Amino acid sequence: MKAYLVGLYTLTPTHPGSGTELGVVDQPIQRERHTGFPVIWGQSLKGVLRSYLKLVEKVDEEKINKIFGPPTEKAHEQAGLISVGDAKILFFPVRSLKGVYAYVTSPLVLNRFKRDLELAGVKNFQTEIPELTDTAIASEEITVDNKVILEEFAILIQKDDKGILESVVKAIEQAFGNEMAEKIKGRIAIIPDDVFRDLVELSTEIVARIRINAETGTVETGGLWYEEYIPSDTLFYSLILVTPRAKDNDMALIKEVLGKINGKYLQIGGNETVGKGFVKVTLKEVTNNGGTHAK
Amino acid sequence: MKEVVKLVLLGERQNSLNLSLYFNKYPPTIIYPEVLEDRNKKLASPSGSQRKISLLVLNQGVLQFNKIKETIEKSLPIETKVKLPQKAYELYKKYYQDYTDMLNSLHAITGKFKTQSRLVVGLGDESVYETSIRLLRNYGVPYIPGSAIKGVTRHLTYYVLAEFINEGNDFYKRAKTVQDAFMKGDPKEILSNAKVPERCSRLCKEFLRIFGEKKVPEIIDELIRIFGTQKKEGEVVFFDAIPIAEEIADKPILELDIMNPHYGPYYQSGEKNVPPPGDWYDPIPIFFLTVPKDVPFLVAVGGRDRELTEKAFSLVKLALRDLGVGAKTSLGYGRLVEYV
Repeated sequence: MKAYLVGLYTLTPTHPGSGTELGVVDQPIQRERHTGFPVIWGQSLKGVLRSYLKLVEKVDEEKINKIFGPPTEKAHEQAGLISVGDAKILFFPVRSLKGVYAYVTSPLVLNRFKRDLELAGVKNFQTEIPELTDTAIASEEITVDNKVILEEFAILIQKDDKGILESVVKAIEQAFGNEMAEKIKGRIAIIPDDVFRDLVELSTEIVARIRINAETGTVETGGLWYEEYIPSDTLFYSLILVTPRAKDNDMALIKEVLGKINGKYLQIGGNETVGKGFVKVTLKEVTNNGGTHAK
Repeated sequence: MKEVVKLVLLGERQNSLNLSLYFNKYPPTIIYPEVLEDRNKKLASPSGSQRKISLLVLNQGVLQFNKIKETIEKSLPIETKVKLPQKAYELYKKYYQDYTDMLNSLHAITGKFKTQSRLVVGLGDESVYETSIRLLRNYGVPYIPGSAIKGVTRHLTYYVLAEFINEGNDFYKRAKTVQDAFMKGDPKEILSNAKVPERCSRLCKEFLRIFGEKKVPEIIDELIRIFGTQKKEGEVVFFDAIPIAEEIADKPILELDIMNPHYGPYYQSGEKNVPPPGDWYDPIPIFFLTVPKDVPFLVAVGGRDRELTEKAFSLVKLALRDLGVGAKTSLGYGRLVEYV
């Protein structure tokens, strides 16, 4: 089985919406039911890829239908050749009292990443994953007085004597390339799972939006609403699995077409017309005889 | 924890402090509980001294409560301009590079604009200081949201089109009619008898120049394509405008400003019976942060139809110059002009 590892790095705040809700935030983002972590649903991502390839890269309708499956009204005719997985979170940026901001992750997140890659067939993917209960492992640049202070959370640091941070950077380089590794290097904080959950729940961006009345110049009645955004500088990953049905020429087609998204910018989620949801994409081909190969 | 925070402020205020976190979650009352206990409440007044204390700590590194108290009570000078800390600047520079790479890759039309006056977006956002300013969450740099740019550009077109119709005399009522027409999705029907007036204002002339030879219904069609309606998404993307990294290296990006309402209780009373405005009320100074004059921003719009996007960009130029963006535009705030 073949697979592609997709990295999505947000350059502007992103709103993969889950609809309107009756809460403090009128328009919250998509979250995983069981963990509460932000997620971009596979079906959302698949739609984005499909329309990008069609509208921007001008790929033939026929090729797109073959890879992604025919449009809904003809869905019974054949299945697509790929399945696009949910884009799961890997690093979440959190403001740090020292060092401006940290890329935050947790053992659960890293373990899941490793498991997902194994599922896709990567065998030599090595990264040390710590067990943490109430301490964190963090780069020096963001620690002060033996603590890392993220938003209003202060977490004690434990020594990184196994070289875990370095192994994580290496893994990121292997999976998403050098540019990504350079970004996170020196600003990683691996924190306990429950603190991670609190931070991704409480420190997303909540933006007040208003509608101005042209007659009065003030906010219209009912013209104030709150939207939730995944901040810029968040890293998600997703796996695109290729069906075992795919023949050699199908493989070549998939490689040719999907290859077009590597290094490009996609728009995901709501409010495109006000500049939201722009992400940079990396794509790596994963083979099941071990290792990831640069495209 | 408080000691650690002080430690950070002492060591990092010039280096790698995140301004957005500092102003958002570490107001003086958190770091100095003494401020709240202050007898005459002078220091604790949320709109008064807190902003000043936060700048005093940030810029002058004053950490002892006694010194803070003395400075505020004796009105000793405080550095009221804020530069981006060094490390935050370096990181922001990289982000700016990524952002412009993205805009180039999307073939967006960009322009450099400078603030002609002070600018504040998000003055009313929730904050412990009662006033606020919108900053990029990760970098602590002020920016102008794309939604604000789109909003003010849209309003510019409402005001120009208000000159094109003549039902009722009140200009702003006509503007509202235009707005409602656009919100409902078929402005062409409602504005069917719109035509270029004989006495066209300067703004109206500049607006018409953007659209060249086009007739009014065609102009409305293009406006619908630019901004969209509730039925159809707009074709143009209005990106967030962010400060131009190379040009803010050694420049203040924030400065303290003050409003000083003299008749607070009268304004706040609403329908209740209170004495009319007069000198029996005390002026209440309220401090807030603004972006100073002469800060350069990168404004960008994108879209698949180049010609349409260029028109949208020209409209943005007019709107930023004439209407202004953010809060207090009627006092002259928020004007930006393109420069080369």
